[in-house]
Amino acid sequence: MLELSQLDIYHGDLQALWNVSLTVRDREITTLIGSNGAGKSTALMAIAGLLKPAKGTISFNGVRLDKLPAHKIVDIGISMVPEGRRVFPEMTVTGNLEIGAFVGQARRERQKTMEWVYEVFPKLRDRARQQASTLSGGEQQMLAIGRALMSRPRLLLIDELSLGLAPVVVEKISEVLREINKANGIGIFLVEQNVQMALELADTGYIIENGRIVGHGDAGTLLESKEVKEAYLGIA
Amino acid sequence: MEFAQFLTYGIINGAIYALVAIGLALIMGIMGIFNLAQGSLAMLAAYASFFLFQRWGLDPFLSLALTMPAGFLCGLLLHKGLFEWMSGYAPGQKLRNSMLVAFGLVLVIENIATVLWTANERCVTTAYSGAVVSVEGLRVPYTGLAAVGLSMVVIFGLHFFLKRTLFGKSLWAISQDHQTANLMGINVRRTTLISFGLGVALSAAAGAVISLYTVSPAVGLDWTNKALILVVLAGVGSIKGIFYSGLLLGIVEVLSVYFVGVHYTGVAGLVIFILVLMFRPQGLFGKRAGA
Repeated sequence: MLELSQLDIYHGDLQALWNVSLTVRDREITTLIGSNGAGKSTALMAIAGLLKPAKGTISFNGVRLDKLPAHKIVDIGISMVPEGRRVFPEMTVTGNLEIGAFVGQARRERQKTMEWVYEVFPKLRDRARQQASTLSGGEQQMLAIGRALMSRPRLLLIDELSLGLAPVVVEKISEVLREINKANGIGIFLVEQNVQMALELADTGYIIENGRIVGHGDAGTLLESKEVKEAYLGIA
Repeated sequence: MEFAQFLTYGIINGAIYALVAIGLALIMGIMGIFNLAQGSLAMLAAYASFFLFQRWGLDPFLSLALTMPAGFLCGLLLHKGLFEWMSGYAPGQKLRNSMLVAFGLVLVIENIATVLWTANERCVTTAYSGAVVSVEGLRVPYTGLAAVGLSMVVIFGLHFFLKRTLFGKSLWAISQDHQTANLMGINVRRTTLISFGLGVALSAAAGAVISLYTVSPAVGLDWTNKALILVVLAGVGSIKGIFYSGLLLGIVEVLSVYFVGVHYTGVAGLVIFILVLMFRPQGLFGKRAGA
């Protein structure tokens, strides 16, 4: 279980998160929704070790993440799909996947894991020797998720899954994520602006506004709530 | 036959240029650090080879077993002390800052070398220094042949290392996106430190060859100049391209001597440097930005 407790984070002098607390339960899909600049990606970067909190704690199954450097986080079972995919453009699909299995046990099992990733995303097998920069946006997103899966994570952090992708592609990738979650028990923490898609996919949802958690609950309930419909879905 | 002889010397010179440039290409390509002191570090290594030969009669190619590890350690210290602090900077800022720091380092190394060993030119004269192998009337010096061999082993070995090993791939990953590389579990700080050490160790390999020709405190910047031309010709990040660009520069220089005159050797190199910058800024073997 991932726990963020009373987290304050600054970007220089600017406070981006205020007393943020949330829980991501094992084997569940949890989403953090909010508008642009609300602090969603900041929270994710803090979990991944790229930002250090000024106050509060982040722990995963009892291990304090806020004390660890970013490169150690993946080794304890958390892997991230960064915003904008950020595949290694000059590497092939296979090269990207290999780098995803850089640490620990994952390195020893990388051929086996790569086969599994190719089964999850057959398109990546077709493009295995192709340079990542030549893939379409959807394929790059598949590669970024596949690369994150290569470390055999227990929790997958996804920053803006739908960004810049056609709805049909987002739908397909969402289905795959649901399948991975159900079949393999990999927890997913999804940070997303596309509120409808995120709440449909998730079990639990948190709403963040101006760096503060302003609501949380069952994702289905949140999707039906008047506040979410008015503020995020444009339904009066 | 005279023309073929010129070409042979061009190939030998080019291979030596490539050997000097490979460390700069690695450090620039992976870390975005412009180590202007690369030639000066090669000059220091050349002095080390010279003294190991003078004191213990150690052949410069054998002394690589000592000078390369020493260069590696020296690289670790230099990176820790002078370059690591700029690791979080934006690429352009890092390039500018590293260039200025490295220029300061050039001045320090040159002055120390002048104080320690005077400005006199020196060279290692081995038993095989003047010897040549004749092939169909072509005279190929043993030293030149060894230099070409060493250059090929180092450059193609490095290319293989970067492309085929997981550590090499992690270096490529860092050069493309160091933050995402960090998320993959790569210890970016340690890996860049090691690659800087490796870059300086490669300059030590170049130093062994330089010691067979001419070494003085002033040659450092001349070698950096050649190395920079090669990095631009090859394109930042192209390792094999450095070797081919070295051959190109070496051959163009000897052709300019053959057809124009010895005084225009340096000009020829700079002309192709400018032409490549104008018409193919990504380099002859580099990829177009965004491609």
